[in-house]
Amino acid sequence: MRYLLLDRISELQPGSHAVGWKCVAASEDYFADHFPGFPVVPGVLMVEAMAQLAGRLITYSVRAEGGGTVLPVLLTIQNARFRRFVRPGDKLELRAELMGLVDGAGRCRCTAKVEGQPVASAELMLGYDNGQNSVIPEAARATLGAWAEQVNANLLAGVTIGEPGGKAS
Amino acid sequence: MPEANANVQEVMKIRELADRVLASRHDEIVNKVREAVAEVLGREESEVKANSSLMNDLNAESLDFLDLLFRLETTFGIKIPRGGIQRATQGSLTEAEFQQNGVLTLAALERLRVLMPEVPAAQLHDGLTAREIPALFTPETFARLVAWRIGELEAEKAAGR
Repeated sequence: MRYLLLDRISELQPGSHAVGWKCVAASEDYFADHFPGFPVVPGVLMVEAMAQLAGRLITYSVRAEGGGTVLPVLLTIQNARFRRFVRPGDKLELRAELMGLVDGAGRCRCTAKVEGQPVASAELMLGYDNGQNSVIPEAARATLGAWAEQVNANLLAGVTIGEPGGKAS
Repeated sequence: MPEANANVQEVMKIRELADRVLASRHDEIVNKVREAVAEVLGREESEVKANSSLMNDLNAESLDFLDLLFRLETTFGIKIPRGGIQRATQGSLTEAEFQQNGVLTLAALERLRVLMPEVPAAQLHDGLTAREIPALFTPETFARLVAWRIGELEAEKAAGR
């Protein structure tokens, strides 16, 4: 996936929080245009990275409540703040905290840091498909579900869900 | 019809919890809900009446309802658990007992009339479809939802003592 903006999830506590990171490579293609001679990570892509982590937190939180497999999608972005530039070589430390989970949606407070310094934050609401009033066609659901499982297994390799992460950033 | 009675009794509990809380806090809760609705929909509070249909009068979409639920949780310090609203509306009725090809059954309408006394009876008419339910939601509806959750919290606390 070209725009998978997570390299690793180091901790995932269903119903509570998730921690992960993205190592920003100098070879990221957007640096060619954003900006020539001054490469910085676009803020929207940091929001996307947060959303990808938040979505997984929501998926596993719903599953922990016995709600089956859901496919979260971004619905709202609130209070997004971009405090510092993030540059090639930076390690974007991401954290998503579950603020609430209702029928069909979860809300997360997300932060991104570099070397412990806050670089971005936002509150994201992600809706999820509960299979009943599905917005995603049934055939695509199965494909997407299988694909997500594969991606999640890679991201979470070596991590026990629900246990504190040892090497969390 | 013993089943129908059990059906109504089930929702009466929710109705009574909400009624008890609204008896003393109706205006306060409704006004906070109106404020939350105004924020979610980017409207002036004066445009949001206690009986405005969020969908028909204020152009709310399902996404706005989700946003509203989270705001109400924060504003009132309550939890609206996953499956909670469905447990209230559908309760122990099976899907087939609740709706037939999308059209609400008499048992479903009976429940909704108890749960949503703020909705004019004419709007909960025979032939109403499940998809039309959200169009009936007003700030009063969400105030009842909030009052139910507050009532449940208070009942839990009282039982814990």
